[in-house]
Amino acid sequence: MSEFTGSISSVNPLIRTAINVADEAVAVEALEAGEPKLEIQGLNFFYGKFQALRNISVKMPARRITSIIGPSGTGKSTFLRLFNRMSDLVPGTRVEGQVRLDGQNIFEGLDPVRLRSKVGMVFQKPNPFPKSIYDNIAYGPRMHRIKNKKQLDEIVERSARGAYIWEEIKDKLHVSAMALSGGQQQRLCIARAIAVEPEVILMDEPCSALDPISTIKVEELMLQLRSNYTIVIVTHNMQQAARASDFTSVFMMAPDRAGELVEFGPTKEIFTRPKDERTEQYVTGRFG
Amino acid sequence: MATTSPVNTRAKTAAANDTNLGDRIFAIITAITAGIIVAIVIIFAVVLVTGSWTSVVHNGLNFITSIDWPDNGFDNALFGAQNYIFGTIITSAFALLIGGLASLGAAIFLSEYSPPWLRTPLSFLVELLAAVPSVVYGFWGIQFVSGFMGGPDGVERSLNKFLGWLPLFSDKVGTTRGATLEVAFNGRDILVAGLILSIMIIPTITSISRDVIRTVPDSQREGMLAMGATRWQSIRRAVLSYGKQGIIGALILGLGRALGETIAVAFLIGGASTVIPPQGTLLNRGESIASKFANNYNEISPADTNGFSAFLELGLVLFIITLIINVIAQILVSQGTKHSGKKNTGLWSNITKWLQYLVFPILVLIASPFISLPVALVVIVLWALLKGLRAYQVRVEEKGGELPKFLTYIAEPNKSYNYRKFINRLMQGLFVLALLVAIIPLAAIFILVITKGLPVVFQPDFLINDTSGRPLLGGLPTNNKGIAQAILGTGLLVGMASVIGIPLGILAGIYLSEYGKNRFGRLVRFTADVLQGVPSIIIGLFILTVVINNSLFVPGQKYNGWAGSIALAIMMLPIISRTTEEILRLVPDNMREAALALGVPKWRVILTVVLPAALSGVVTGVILGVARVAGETAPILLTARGNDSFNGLNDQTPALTLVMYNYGRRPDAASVDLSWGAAFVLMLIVLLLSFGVRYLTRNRLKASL
Amino acid sequence: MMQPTTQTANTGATPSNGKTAVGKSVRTEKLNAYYGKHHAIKDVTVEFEPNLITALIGPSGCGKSTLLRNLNRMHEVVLGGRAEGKIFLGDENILDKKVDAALIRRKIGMVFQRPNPFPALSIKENVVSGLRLEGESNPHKLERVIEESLKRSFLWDEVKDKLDEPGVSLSGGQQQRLCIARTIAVEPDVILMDEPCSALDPISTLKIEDLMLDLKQRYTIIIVTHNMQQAARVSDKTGFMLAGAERTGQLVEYNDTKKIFTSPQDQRTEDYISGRFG
Repeated sequence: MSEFTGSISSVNPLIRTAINVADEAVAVEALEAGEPKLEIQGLNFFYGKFQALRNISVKMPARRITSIIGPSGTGKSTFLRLFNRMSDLVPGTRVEGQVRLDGQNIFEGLDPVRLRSKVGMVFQKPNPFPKSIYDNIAYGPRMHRIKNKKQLDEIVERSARGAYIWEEIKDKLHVSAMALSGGQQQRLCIARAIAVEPEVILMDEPCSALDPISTIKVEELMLQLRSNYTIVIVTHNMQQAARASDFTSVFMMAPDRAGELVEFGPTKEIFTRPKDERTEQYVTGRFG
Repeated sequence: MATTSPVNTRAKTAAANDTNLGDRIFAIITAITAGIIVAIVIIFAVVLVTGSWTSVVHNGLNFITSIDWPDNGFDNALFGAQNYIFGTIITSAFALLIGGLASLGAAIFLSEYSPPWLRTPLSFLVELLAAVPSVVYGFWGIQFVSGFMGGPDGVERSLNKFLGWLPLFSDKVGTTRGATLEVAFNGRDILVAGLILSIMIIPTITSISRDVIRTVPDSQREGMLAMGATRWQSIRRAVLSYGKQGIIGALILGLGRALGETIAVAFLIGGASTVIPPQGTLLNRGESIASKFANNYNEISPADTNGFSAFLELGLVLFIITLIINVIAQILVSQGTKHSGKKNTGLWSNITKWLQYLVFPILVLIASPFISLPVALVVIVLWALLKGLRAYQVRVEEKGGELPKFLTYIAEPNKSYNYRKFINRLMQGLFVLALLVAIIPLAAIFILVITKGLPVVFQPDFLINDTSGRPLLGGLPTNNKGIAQAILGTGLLVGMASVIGIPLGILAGIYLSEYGKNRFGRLVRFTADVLQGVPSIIIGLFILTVVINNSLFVPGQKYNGWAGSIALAIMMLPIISRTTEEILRLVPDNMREAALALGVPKWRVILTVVLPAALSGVVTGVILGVARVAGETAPILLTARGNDSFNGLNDQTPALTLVMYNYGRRPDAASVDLSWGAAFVLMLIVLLLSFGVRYLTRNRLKASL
Repeated sequence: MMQPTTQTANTGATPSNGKTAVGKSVRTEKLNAYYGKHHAIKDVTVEFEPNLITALIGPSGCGKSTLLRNLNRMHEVVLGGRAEGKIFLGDENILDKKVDAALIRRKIGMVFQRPNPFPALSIKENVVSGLRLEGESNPHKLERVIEESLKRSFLWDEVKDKLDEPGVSLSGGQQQRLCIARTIAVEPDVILMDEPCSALDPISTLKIEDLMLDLKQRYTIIIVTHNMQQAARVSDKTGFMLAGAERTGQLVEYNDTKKIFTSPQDQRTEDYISGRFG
């Protein structure tokens, strides 16, 4: 039944109808021009003795969306959580190599608390605090010593507008955030993340718990945010990567179950002319 | 201290400097409070061991081989505690058997059978049972259970009449002098004490094993059901075998509770003032280690060096037994439903296979003093016949034959689907029965306390006068006795205990939940659990030794309220810290991650996100701790020891439980009435505390998590 | 011919039951399933034919697992789960109140999304756990079934030297094949598989797919999958399900797999298989 497996043709139309994918040439240009925002070099990561990531080197350009795809268990999320050192929270882990944010190695001489105010994160499951909508967005700024009510109001509105949720919440800012729908909660979490004005936003499968319409809204939002932020997104949905990212990195599992980066490049290239056999098999749905 | 372990191997020191200063200070403060728990347990062990050293040297092995416990040690008499050790073991074993089965059945019913709308109220009822103070159980037992168990028409007479041929229910007791005595049938004996203990340990075992059963993934049940298992088969083969360890752990924890139970046993076991050696019969009176302390608390005096040391050794024995029991239980429960991929090596599995054949006969033989040897032998022979039949059946089948149908039914009854269906129904019925066994005593206690206690409360001056008839707030004495001084005493004792115990407990709980994923954390958790398992009478004994005997707080005054408060605070500490930890853990990690990812230091995340999210749960845990100690008798019996009047915490301080303890066993109607009244007020306080608040906060907790 | 079809099968005067080597058809008529008040699937009428692999596909929440779990009455195990309509196994309406669910599940085996071997049991005890339920204790008979089932699930060579080790010591893919071995050990008529490969790596996935193709010679196989390529690779027939706004799933299209993937009749099916949503 091999005639059905070549469904690359079913991916292509999606790329064509994708909302706003950068032109390939522009993407390549961005990759080559100047300093990358995030530069990963010779990165190895271990849980105890188990090596979860092996020898990963990649440069992620500023103000672009880089997606990370691959079958489950290949260390995509692990990789992402290194960028803001959320990986510190798991005891018994160990990193080798470097992750450089604007040239500064984040594992050396940098307070993770400060790092995280520069590198925001949106999680797989929407995780608003059990507080009011307003308090959710204002939480970060408050913790960063902004007490002025007026200033806070401004930040809340600006962030909510930035996350395209202002219109939906402006009349109920003091209602519990738990009362919002899943998709709204996720956009609230994005608003909360941008309220502390980070430079990079990490997204860990941000749409996997959402319905199609919310998914599209979040994708649109990402494309808007791209003009101000560097976005790295892990997704299990290849169509999403194709629709809403400029660059794509493909992770695969080595025989010892360590995750490896097998290919990185402009999204269009990855989906149409993959260089690696495994990438091709994966994007055509041969497994995963 | 913190779990934010450095990640960079090349620059470990640099990474340590990464950690936020506020984080480090906060972690250290909470760690110190957590350390207090460890310190208490260590001091505890040291005091007990050094204090009992005189007795260990003086009495030697005599302590466990002799049944002779003199009234005092002034003339260097030797002390022997065998009687008490026997009493402790036999009542606890009985409680474990009856209470354990009932609890398991109730737990299975609650988690597997009960419709959801029924589950919450039923669990609530079982937990109510846990909130009933021990002294109320004792008093209820003596007023009610003793009544229908003992006496000329009591259950015990009938048991003896029909089953007297079993040593278990014999009415003859041998004495050391070779004489044979008849038991008194007064409803105060090992059987009744064991029954009350059974009821008392039901909530512990039920709630823990229900939690264990809940952790069994549905995929296990479904896997069994999908292969055609009946409900009961899926419970037995998937659920119970999966959660076996945790359930055994729960049973052992219940056993630990039974071993240390003091006041209720002291009320009901009859007390062995005359020397009666261990007997097979349950109808004999006896004494357990814990009840010995309560029944003879006036004899525990440091002036009598030998006697005091002997009591400390008795405490040490109980401490060690409960320690071992609790450690085993903790290990089993914490490993609960974890399953490692460890393999059984061939030799070991062969040995266990053969051991299996020995376990049953040995167990039956151990029980033979109670069920008589002939009965034991008959049981073993029947069992062996069944095993033989199975083996024979296999041989026949391998030759292509088949056993006669009725023999197949005996050998492999499960082959008949109707049999499986029948067993399924039968077990379901038994579970319901078990639940009733768990709940009916509760109903009985409530009805009696309300019908007998409520009228007393409305007697004139009951809430104004003290037990000697003087109005608490001044005025002329009247003939109306009241319990005002006890209410005030309980309030102050518990209030002071809360002031000490709550802040320490919460901080320690924060440490355990947020920083405690290291060795020290495990140590604190372990010692907190040990401390929680220590019988309350032992904590009283500890304070008696350290504080009272040295007049530590109030110069020149031995027994005083402060010491009582400290004892209660020590009891509160592990309860509050462990529940706080558990509640904080319920706050999903993604909340913490969300806040951390915004660049907020961990300590502020804890104070601004984690604690507020769990606040109502923490409050509930705290109040549960307060309620638990409000009903305590044993520790304040040895420390505060107040009675009829209230003269401030510097003096002996009265309490509701002490009033019940002192008046509850007196035969005159006035004393009994007074005790019912005190029981009513005590239950009201305890239940309002433990459930009123929980009910109010429940919905908020649900909404916030 | 393995064992006779169980001494306990008292329900079936079903003529086709003569040979166990052929599966039975499963047919639903106007099947509606609910979780409490939530209407999960609506009016599903479909026939799953013997000796074919039928795949059920659709976006998550479309009710495909619910439909599958109805077929062996596992749906009612879930809190508030209930069903209306008819489901025929051969000629027997298994939704009939008088029919015992345990006996139905004995005839309609199920493999779950996540491998769920029984951790307290060894590999071989896992395989015969179904027979143990029926009181079989003859060690020789059990040995034979263990070997036969493990061979038929392509697992024997990998585990024959460690049969006494716990089932959970195996890798995920092996565990899943162990669960299949456990299912076929009791010789069911139908095997239901609920996303059996979603937790597995590519190589294990291939092995399970091979195994399915082999098993279909003897059983009716119905598989729920979220992986369209898998449906395309292994199934003979495919049903596409979809839920509307109120999240009630319906069977949109049911046809030969080839037709579904090349010339779907329904626009929604086409949108789905071309990745427009889901």
